[in-house]
Amino acid sequence: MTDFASAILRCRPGALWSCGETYDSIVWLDTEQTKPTEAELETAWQELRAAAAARKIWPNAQAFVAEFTPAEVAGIALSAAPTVAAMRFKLTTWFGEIHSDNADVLAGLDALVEATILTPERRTQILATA
Amino acid sequence: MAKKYVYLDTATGRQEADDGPAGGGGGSGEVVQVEVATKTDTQTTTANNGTWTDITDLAITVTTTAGQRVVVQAAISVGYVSAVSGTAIRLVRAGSPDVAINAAAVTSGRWSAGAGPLLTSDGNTIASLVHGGTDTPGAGTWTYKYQFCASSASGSATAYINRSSNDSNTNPYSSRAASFMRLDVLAP
Repeated sequence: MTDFASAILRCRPGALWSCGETYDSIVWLDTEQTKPTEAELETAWQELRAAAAARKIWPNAQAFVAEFTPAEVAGIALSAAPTVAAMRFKLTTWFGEIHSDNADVLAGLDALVEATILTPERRTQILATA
Repeated sequence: MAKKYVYLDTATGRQEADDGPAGGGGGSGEVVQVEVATKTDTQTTTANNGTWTDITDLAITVTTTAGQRVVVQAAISVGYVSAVSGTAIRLVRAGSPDVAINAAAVTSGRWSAGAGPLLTSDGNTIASLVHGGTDTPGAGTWTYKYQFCASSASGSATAYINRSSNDSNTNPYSSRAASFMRLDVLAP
């Protein structure tokens, strides 16, 4: 069943609206953006489902860090690279789940590859869903 | 001890109270009518900071006589995006304009009643807002209903009823909840 709320948020970010669980329940309040068609929302919903299927989710920062080998953890802990340091700090304050398509996660893993703490193959391995 | 008889319609879940087959009762402060409304589907809005949206199914219409008091109680399940936004609810007696019941006096005027939570959330949280109010509307037929809106300092947020923000009706975010309101009419 199409989740119209999620689909509208994807199609028309920042728009004002209310909805229930059907297309007909949508009350369009926005004066700048147009109400999306049902076909548009169906397409957006399928895109969201595809993205969700490809997304790896760690329940918390500890689970994410557990992906790394001891040598990689040591490299992360000792690195002076600014992006790695920023990732290290963000992980200490991260609340809740970590998603593999999060921009901070992807930038952090790229920085680890650049700093030769991770190999490109290990980056792929860490991001891969089971 | 005065007694009231409460009847449950098992098909609809609706409850009604009266004096029972023997009649009598109806003394001051006694419950003369009970109505219950439940909501089991979900609802979402991006209307925020005082632009209120009716919560479908959480509305009850009653007819009162002069001096009767209406007491409303509700438990409403809400979701919200993050720690920097919330979902606000309020109870109103429908009219032009709607009259907020049990409204908190706030200088900002954003939330008339029922505060949305500003709790730490990663988008998977559903919180239950317990709210109520009393009103003595006078003689007439009245509709009491709940409304909701998103609230955020940035003016951009999304508010959810009976679902979390991350819930897209697919695993692993399939958690759903229900909400209800109960309305009692008390004798003068």
